[in-house]
Amino acid sequence: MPGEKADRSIDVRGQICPYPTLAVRQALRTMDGQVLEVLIDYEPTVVTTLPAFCRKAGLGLEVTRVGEACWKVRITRGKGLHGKGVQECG
Amino acid sequence: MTVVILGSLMGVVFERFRLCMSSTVTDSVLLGDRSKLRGLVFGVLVSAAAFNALIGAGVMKSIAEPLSPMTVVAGVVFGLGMTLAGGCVSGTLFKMGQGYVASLLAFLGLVLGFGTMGYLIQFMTRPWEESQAPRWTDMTLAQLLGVSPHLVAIPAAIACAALVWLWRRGGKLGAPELTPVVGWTLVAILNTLYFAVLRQPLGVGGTPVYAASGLSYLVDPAWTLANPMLGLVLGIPRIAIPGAAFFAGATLSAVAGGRFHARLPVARQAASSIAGGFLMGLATTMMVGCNVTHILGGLPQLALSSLAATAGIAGGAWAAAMLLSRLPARHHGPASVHGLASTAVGSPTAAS
Repeated sequence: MPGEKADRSIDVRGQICPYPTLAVRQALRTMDGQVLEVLIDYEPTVVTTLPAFCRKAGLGLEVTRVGEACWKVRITRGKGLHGKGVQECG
Repeated sequence: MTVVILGSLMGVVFERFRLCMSSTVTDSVLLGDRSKLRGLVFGVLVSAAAFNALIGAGVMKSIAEPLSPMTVVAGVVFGLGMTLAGGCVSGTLFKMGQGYVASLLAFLGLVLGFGTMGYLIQFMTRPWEESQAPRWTDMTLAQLLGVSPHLVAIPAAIACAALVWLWRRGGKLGAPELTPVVGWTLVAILNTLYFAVLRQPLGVGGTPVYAASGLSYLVDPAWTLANPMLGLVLGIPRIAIPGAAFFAGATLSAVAGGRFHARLPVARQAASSIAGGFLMGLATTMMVGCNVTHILGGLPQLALSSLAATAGIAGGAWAAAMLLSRLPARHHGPASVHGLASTAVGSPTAAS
C-alpha cells in the first residue's frame, strides 16, 4: 500500500546497469517482508527494467521522484497492487 | 553530412528508447523479462529483410568483416566487458550523453583498451589485413552457399509480418512491452538508409579508437605513425565521425528531454566501468567491429563473422550476468551524492 512502512530499504545510487537490478533481485529474494524501497538514480532501470519486471512478476510498483535525477521506488509483493500503479517518470 | 545526420538520428533513437544490448541480456537472464530481447530480434529481422532485399536487387553490396579463430573469443570478452561497463559501445555513448560519469569512465576504458591493443597488435595476426584476399571466412552465408540474398530477405519479412499479426491478434500493439520493438525498428530503418547511402552499416567503435590514436600520437608521434593499427586509424579521421555524431544526437536528445543530469558513480561502479570498457576495447579490435557493426550490421546479412561474434557476445554477457548475480550486491549508496542521505529502513528520505 502506498505510504506503508518499508520492510527493507536499499540505496543503489551511483550504480548503473546491471548493478541496480542485481541489488533489487537479491533484496527481494532475501527479505521477509512485503515492501522493498529502493533509492536509485539510474533512469533506465526506473523507467523500463523495473516496470517490466514488476508487471511480469505481479509485483506492485510505485515510483516517486525525489530529486532532479533520483527516484524512490517501492516494490510491493503479495496481494494488493499486482502490478498496478506502475508509472513512468523522468 | 549524411553520416552526421543519420548518426545523430541513431543517437536520438537509442537515447529516447534507451536501447541497450547489455540490459537486453541481463534483463533476460536475471529477471526473465524478454521484452528488450524481443525488440532487438525484431529489429534484426527488419534489417535482414531490408538489407538482403536491397543486396539482392543490386542496390548495395554485402559487407562482411573477416572471421578468424579469435572472433568468438573476442565476442565473449566483449560480452563480459559490456556487462561490467553497464553498456556496449553505443550504450556507453548515449549514457555519456545522459550525464552518467560511469559511462564516461567506460569510454576511457575503451580508449585504454584500444591503446593497449595498438601495442599488442604488433605481435599478433591482424584480422583486417587478412581480409584483403577474398576468402570464405569473409562472406555471408548466402555468398558461401551461392544462393540469392532474397532467400534470407523473404523469410525475414514473413517472420516480421507474422509477429505483427500475432501481436495485433493478441491486442498487444501499443502495449508498453512492445516499446523496444518500436525503437529497434526505427534503428533498422535508419541503418538501412545508412547502408544504402554510405555503402556500409553504422559502426560507432571508430570514435574511441581514433581517440586512442590521437592520445598515443600526443605521447609518441613517431611510434604511433609506425603502429600498424593506431597509425592506420590516425590516417582516416572520418572513422570517428559516426560515433561522434551518435553521441551528439544522444546528448541533444537527453538535454531536450530533460534527461541530462550529471551522476557520479560509487567506487565499485567506477572500477567496473573502466574494466568493462577496457575489455570491450581489446575485443572490438579482434572482432573488427563492435556490437553495432556485428549485431545490427553483419548479423542481418548472416555474415559468418557476425554470427560468430554475436554468439560470443551473447555467451559472454550471459556468463557475466550469472557471475555477477552470485556476488553480493551493493545495497548502500554514497553518503552525500546528489545531496541525499542514505535511507534507513522505515524512514524514507524525500528530498526536493
